[in-house]
Amino acid sequence: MEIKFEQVNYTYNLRTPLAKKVLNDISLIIPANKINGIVGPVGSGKTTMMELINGLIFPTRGIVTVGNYTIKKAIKGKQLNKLRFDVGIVFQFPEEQFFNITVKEEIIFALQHYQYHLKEIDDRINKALQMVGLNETFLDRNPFNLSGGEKRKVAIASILVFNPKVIILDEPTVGLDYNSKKKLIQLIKKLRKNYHKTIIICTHDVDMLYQIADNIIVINKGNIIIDGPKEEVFSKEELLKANGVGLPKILTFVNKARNNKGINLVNCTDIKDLIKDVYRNV
Amino acid sequence: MSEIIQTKNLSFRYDTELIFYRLNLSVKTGEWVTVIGPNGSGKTTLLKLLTGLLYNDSEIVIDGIRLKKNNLKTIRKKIGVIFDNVDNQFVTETVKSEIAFTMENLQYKRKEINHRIEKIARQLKIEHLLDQDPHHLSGGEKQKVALASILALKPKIILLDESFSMLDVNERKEILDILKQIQKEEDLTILNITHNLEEAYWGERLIVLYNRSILIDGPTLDVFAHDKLLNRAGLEIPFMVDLSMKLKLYGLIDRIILDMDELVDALWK
Repeated sequence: MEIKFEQVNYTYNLRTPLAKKVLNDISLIIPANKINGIVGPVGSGKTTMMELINGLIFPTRGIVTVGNYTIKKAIKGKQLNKLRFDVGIVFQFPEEQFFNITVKEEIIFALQHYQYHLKEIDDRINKALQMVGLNETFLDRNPFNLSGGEKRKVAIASILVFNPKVIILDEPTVGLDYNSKKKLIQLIKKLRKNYHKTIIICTHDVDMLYQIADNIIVINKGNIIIDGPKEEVFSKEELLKANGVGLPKILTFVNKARNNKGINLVNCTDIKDLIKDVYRNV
Repeated sequence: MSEIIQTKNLSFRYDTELIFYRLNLSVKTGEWVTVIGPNGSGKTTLLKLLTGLLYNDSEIVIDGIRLKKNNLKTIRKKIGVIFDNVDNQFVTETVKSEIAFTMENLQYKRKEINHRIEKIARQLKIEHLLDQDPHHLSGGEKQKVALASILALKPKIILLDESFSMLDVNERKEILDILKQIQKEEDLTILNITHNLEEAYWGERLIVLYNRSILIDGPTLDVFAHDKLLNRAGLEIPFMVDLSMKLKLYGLIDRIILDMDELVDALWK
């Protein structure tokens, strides 16, 4: 599902003394079936973009389209509900929102309000669990007693149960340990490759994005600084630096080898490939 | 160097969940020790136990005094704690009054207060911020102000609890560099409790908490060499450590180098 921003402005507390403009005429296309990373300093407008895509807020001016939906104030309740089936947001620390005592109840909580048949609810739960790599034994467990990574998976499953076409993840790796982070990265890749989801990740973790993203959007002070394939975006070191975004470490090393020593290493995302290339060039 | 922090067979449980079992920790005066561990390994619990925010009968000795319920005030004068989100700690309208706040409450003389503020502001390079509202500063500046407020009280020990986790890479490096300098000048003991292994670069010793006890304890670089064990404990090896160790393994460098420019120089002389 393609997402389009056309000259979108957003101002919080409009027409009050506390009015604050956070998006300035931004225009861009977020392509379907790709992993798209949004990066930028704190307060740059990342979360506002995310909330616009989900229809949690509406543009002050301009148009946001998500597939066939046009996000505007006049959007009808029914349409908005449908949009939210198609666009799922996993907020930062989603596990802090748990309030049911079993994983099953947590996952089906929202579904129950839409009067699905029990059979369909079960089918959806099983599919969501399968997608995140948890088995049925988790259903009766208390979500509060799971590990950090498992909790994050349950939170994602409770979004996937709606089978959304777009999945937005806000800082998905924050607070996860090494093993949980590794598994989450595999899951995100799988959601794009096997289930053709459009993924949007808001994060500071440029190393993770360099590994898995197709496209990167850099935003600062409400303006889109650059967007495009990750190779192109991460080649603009100075521009990124000026906008508070660091380079992935592996790329910083490749750049230093080139700039300081004239050694041209291949741009790779895996440390093993980097070492092989260093070995060839020493 | 004498022991300034000691726990002897420290065990602690929350209800039925055992967090520590016979944990023996010993930190010498002037050491910078990084304590790391995966989620739920007891990092924050350890900090709370050392400051008496949590209490049981296990033996904890701070600067030669056994921590007891009736001497918490004395113990806490020796320890300064910096948390990750300092916003909620600010109570005044200028950086200067913020640093002075606790000293005023402890009835320090005005001359002494001014002298300490001047010195700390110079050390932390925040002289230009003294008249500003601390709430309106950047993340890194706020942490410096929080650090200044603590350092002004001249504690012997600083406990960092994920203190710099919300800062970007550059801000974090800057404040850790400054703190390292002050640590050397003042012979401060620092216990940095974090989940970010990169912060271990600044300390000479690294302790890994795992499964209710200490999994590894040793000089930082020696601990980094246990990469598989660290991964199994859910810890991510920092990029430079990983790269440097592998290059050393292939015989491309003869020692672990953590500075990227230096590593590039060593590879292509």
